Amino acid sequence: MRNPVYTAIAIAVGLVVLAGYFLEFELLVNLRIVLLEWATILVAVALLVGVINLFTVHWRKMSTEPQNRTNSAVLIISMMLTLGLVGWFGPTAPISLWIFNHIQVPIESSLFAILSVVLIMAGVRLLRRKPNLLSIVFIGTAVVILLMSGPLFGIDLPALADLRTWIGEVPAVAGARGILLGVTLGIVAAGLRILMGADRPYGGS
Amino acid sequence: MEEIICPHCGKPNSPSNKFCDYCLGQLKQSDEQISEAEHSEIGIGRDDLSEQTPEEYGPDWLKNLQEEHSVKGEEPIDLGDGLSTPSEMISDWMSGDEEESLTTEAGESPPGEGSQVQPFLPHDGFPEDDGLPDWLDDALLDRSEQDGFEADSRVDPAIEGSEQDALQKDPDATKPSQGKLGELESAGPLAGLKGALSPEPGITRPRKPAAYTTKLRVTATQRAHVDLLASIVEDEGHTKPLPERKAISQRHVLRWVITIILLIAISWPIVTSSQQMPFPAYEEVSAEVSRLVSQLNGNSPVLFVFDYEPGLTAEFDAATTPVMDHVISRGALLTLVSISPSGPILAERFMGLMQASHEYKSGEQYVNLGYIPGGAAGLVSFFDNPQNTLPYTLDGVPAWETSTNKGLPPLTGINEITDYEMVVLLVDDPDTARTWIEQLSPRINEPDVLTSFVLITSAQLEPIVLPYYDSSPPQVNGLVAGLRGGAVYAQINGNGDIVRKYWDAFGMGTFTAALLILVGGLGYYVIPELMRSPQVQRKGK
Amino acid sequence: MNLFDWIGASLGFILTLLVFSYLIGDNPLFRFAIHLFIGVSAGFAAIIAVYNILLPRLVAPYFSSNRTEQLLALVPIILGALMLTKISPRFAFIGTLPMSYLVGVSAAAAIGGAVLGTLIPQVNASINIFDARSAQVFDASIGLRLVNGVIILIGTIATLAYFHFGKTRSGIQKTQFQAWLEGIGQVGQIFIAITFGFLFAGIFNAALTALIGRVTFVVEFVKSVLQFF
Repeated sequence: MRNPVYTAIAIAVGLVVLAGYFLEFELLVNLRIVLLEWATILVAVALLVGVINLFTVHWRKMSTEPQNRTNSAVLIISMMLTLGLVGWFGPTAPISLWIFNHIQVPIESSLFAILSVVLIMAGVRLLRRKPNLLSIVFIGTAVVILLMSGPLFGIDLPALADLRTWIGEVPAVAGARGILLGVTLGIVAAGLRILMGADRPYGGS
Repeated sequence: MEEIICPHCGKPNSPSNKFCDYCLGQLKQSDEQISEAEHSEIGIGRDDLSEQTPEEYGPDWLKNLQEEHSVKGEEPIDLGDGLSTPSEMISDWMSGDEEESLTTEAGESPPGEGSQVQPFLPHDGFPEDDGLPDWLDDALLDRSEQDGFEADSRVDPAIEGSEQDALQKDPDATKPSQGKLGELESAGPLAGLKGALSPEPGITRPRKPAAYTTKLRVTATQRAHVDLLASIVEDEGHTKPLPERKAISQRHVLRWVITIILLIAISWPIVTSSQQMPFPAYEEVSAEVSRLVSQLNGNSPVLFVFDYEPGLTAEFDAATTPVMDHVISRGALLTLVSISPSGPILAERFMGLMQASHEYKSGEQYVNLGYIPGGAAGLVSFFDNPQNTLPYTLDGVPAWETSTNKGLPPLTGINEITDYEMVVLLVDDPDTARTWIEQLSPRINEPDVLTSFVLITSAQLEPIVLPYYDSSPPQVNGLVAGLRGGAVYAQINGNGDIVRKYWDAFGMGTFTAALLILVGGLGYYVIPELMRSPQVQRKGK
Repeated sequence: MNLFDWIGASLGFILTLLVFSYLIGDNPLFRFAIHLFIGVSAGFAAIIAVYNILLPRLVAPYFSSNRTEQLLALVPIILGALMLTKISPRFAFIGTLPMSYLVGVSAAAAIGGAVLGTLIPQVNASINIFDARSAQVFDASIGLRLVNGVIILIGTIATLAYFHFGKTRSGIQKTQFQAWLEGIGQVGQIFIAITFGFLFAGIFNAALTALIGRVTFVVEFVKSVLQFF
């Protein structure tokens, strides 16, 4: 099929979905519901495609890269075992929860846990170069929030506690709001470019 | 070694040459020819050559040609220098006086001759002087005056210019010099003819064109550059081993020191099961959640969304348990969904944890509808039409009421999202939180909608969500952020077992981290500065 | 704890230590644990997608008598089959049709949510703080509210100014507006630094809680083993 057809499809379905946010016609609402249902199914298929791709990549690595053979084999075996056991017994079966609780949760939690050491290292090394105003403000804010997040040995420092509250509710909100607005404007611009056919990330060129 | 003087043009040549470099005339005669010449008292030179027959000193092919012609009965005209041509090729005036021979003085080189001097000499030279113009005589005479003129075939403009001046001073210089009348041309295509004008300008001499080598002229520097480039290109094909890094670097040591200090700080309260640190004081954002949950009635439908990563189970177990405990104590009926693939399993896991204190059964008090794919599009589909988006539970049981199915109690009366009394979002990712808030908040802020929307987030999300809580009307009605938020909630409502277990270690950990960052960072900056300053002072002096 | 739980706890203990070995340095044991995790999580994701979406929405309609549902299910079946061709690089171009469909829907949903869910409400929030009638999270002191409101407004505008990606013409003197914008952007940097400092502390708190959870698990496991012996 030619490129304009793909672009036309993207624009057409996009306009129907977008119009549903602002207009309330029964036909439009029903059409929108159907289009969105189909989209959710396609996303699930895309997830499946991603998993299959992961499998093929590591299968190929097993045959072409001897140094990574063991790790790729571990990945493939664990994937197949999980698919087999969870697929056979069901996602809510005890064996599925056992695999989840004793393999996935410990590994992922431990990965997140070592982040704490990395973050302290980053904070320490930040001052290694000559500090400027921004790095001092950054580290100062982080230290105040850290100190007042925990109990601080039961010591009551109302001034610091109020400072933490004020930082969280005023300057941090201001900065976060600016960031959110900036991100949103970017999303709107990118989305409009797609709906106008200027951008074709689906490979229609 | 002594150079050989060319008999035709008079130029010096290398002893090893057989033919002249300049006029291509033969340099060396055979011994027989030399001896005959000696006997006949003929020396090497033009005049000598002119008296020799072609077959005596010419190349073999010419000799053969002459023999052929003599066999054929022709009388080849002896043009001197051992060459002859068939008579019909020679015009009458050329062949007229065969007996005369042109003589030239030895060592002469005719003025302005630029062409190759070929060993053609008429047998009898040019015709007698019978009315040749004076300038031709002068040209023949002036040949002898051109000795030693070494003009290159590439004319030097300076020389040309100087000669231009000479010509201007002496107009007669433009006239071809008149040599001896009837001077025999000893070389070139007009060899053997008398009084031939030199086809080349007088300032140049017939020379073999300079041989330009086809080799590239490369200096030593250029050669070095070329070799360097070649070695670089060749190296590209070879993999080089990475430079060995130090096994233990400053970074490793710093990492180990921080790890040991932090582990000691948090392990002590855990090992000793210390639970002494007080919970934080009242916070409005978390208190609002407690107020909203307290407004739930029995059988109130509440939607719980499990959208956090399994790696944060410790934080969310601690923050969610007091809230979920409170919700369940109000008798609410729960619907569990997620827009991340691991969410449904997390939800099942969490409900398994709650079984220790509450008997909430799947399909009766709670239902796990599973995974909503598609991000924002999936959310819109679920909000508008949950029955078609997730028709079955995670167990594969039909969830909604239809003509043939009774439907599960937690989903009774639910046709769209605003039919829930409360939506509780458990989220750790800023984009997921933003997607939920953007899609849900416009619906719940419509008039006559009583659905409240509260978030239980990771501590990292607190500054991102607060702007939504701060808006008017609020897009988020309440927030429990991280372990601290869970502690605040437990302070208000009780039942913070997990929070209690972690709280003392959390306090030690945050204090240690702040101290490490301050002391370590200052140490990193101040110590090098102190070590550097005496040197700077010395430099200043 | 039964045997199953014991084995699970031992496995969790070993895997925790394997991942923590990264603190000493990158090693094959750590990479083993990571690849195991990726395989398990990918397997779970695939099963959830099949159990929760594909079977109920694509297969189940053909076991019911509802013709409308069956006809409607035909379109996603065809589109899904086309999407599967993305696995093969040679036939991936066939999957462009369902991809264009997905991209159009997602873009529209994102725009609608961004405009109605963030842009308008957050701009209103920056202004409404000066509205004394709206009772909000801050205390009742109007003066303090106004001061905070001014700071929030200035901070929001300054942060947006910092992220201004307007084209500046080089070689030509900046216009006054551009100079003003850059000056305001400098102020915005301070607000961004404060926000990121807050975020940094929040991320650390979350990671610290995960570390406490893991250390608690390890200590409890060791205690139970010691108790056993």
